[in-house]
Amino acid sequence: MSSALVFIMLAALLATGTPIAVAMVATVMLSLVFFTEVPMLVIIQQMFNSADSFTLMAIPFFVLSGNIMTAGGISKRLIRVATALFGGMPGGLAIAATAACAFFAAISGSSPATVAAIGAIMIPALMKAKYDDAYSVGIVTSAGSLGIMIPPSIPMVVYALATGEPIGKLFMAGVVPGLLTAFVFAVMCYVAAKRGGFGQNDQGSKADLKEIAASLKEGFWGLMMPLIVLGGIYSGVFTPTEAAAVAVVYSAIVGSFIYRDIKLKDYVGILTSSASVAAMIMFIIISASAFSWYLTSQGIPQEVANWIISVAPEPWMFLVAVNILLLIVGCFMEPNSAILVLAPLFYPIVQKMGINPIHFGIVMIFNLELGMLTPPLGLNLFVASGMTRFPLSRVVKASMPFIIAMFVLLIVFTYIPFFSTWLPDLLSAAP
Amino acid sequence: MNKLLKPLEWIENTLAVVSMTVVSIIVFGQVISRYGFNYTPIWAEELSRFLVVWSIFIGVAIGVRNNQHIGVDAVIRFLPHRLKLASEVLLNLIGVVVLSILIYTSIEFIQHTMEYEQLSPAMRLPMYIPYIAMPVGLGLSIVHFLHNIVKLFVNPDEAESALAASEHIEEINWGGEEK
Repeated sequence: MSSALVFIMLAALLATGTPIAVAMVATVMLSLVFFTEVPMLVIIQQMFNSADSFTLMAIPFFVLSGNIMTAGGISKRLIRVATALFGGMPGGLAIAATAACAFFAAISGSSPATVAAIGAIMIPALMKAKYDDAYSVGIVTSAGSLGIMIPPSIPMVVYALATGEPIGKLFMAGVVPGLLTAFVFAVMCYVAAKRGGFGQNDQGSKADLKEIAASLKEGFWGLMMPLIVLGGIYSGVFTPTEAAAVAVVYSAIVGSFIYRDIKLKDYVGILTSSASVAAMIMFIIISASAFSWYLTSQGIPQEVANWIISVAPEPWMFLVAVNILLLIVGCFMEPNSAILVLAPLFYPIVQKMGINPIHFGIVMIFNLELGMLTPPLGLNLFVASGMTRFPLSRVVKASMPFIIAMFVLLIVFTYIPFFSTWLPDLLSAAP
Repeated sequence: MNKLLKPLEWIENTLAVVSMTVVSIIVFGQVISRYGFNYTPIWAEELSRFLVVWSIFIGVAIGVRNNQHIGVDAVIRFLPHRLKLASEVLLNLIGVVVLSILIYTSIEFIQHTMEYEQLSPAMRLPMYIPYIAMPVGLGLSIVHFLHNIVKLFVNPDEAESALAASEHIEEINWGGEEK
């Protein structure tokens, strides 16, 4: 009974619009007073212990390096590479927008940031090339999802913190599903163009090898970053946290000395806004650690696990239930918070059922990412609509074909673990 | 009112900028020193963790100041204006109450560690130095929660824009200029 009350309390607090972190702490406070004799001091201990963690530090570093890269003019150079490579195909500019989102995703860990960075340049470019307005907004909004699918990814770090799974493996597990999603989007753009849709004239602007070489030379420093970060983690040269710090210094050097788009005084703004964005995520994480400590101390995850296993004894039934639940939750909560509340509840079940926890993490993230594209709390939609002054409903309608494609991909990735487990298994099998 | 808050804002921004910069340099330097000089300073990890603790709690205050904290606005979005205003006041009040209890408890906690003269394992620093970030950052947050309530009464139309601001969790800093 008390376990249901905990979640009712949390839901009631959230409904008032209270910040998620505050709502979680308040729920623990009320529960401690009503259901236990445990002193409040334990909340402070839990919050401090989770704040005082070297792994957690990866989050501010990835936020910071992403912001430095954005301010450092990396996005326009990546777009030039993407346009040079794909611009000549039918629907080429839309394919280039997808590819640019995929490139940017490999240096940024957030979806709305990807939509903003690529959309600011690509949406006007698409419209200028006579693409339908709604279509231009739709493709960038949807391809922005790649931001958290392709590593580095902040929700993957959060899942790792919530479950204790290794960050490096999660990063690798996201590569194939992320690239496959990008590929499916690109094929959709190609087919739309072939059918007499948009971007027929893109063939005329076929880039020559010289432009490809020039763009690659300019984009080289940006394209190197994922290699350094992921390569560094995988070869064991550094831990994920150290890799993220290396990314910060690397992006600062590229932005200040090679591209020279950032001036010293710009760093004050970049650092303050990064500190507050990172702190928001970390505040939720440390509050969630107090919350999940309470749940565990009351045996609630076990209770929930036993109940779910009794109603959905087969792994596929459990996964169907998870898919549906996360689609609903994703409409109201952003991915990081949803992972922090739900991963500790699902994790014991996942282990009992023998589902690969790395695969399950990718399913959760992909599933919640769909929520970023659906109202009422679709952050990608808000960013796109805020940037283009398009009404929200038109952005949603424009993204529909891609949302449907992602839904199909979600089912594929959920029930065929191969896509997420293949690369991490391959790499851990290698010496 | 704003004159009183300006210095606080400056302190928060400075602490955030300094701690983020120093932490990045320390952790990067640690990698360089490990491979370049085969030496890992034992204080580096501890110092960076403590600085991140400070940056979290200061960052929380900056987040409250900018009305950026992530909440679920699916319900209150559809309320009529007056009720929306009321719930905006309510959520800021909840913030004040919850953080006050946290501050009270954290001070109690810090007094314990001071009594036992607890020192950090690597640097032998008194443990209250990282702990004190909690009451300081949360105290600053309370000031901003209260200021948010005042703003709602002075300018009720801001309720709309405050909600809009909370939607853009990842604020992009285009030119690096401060908003």
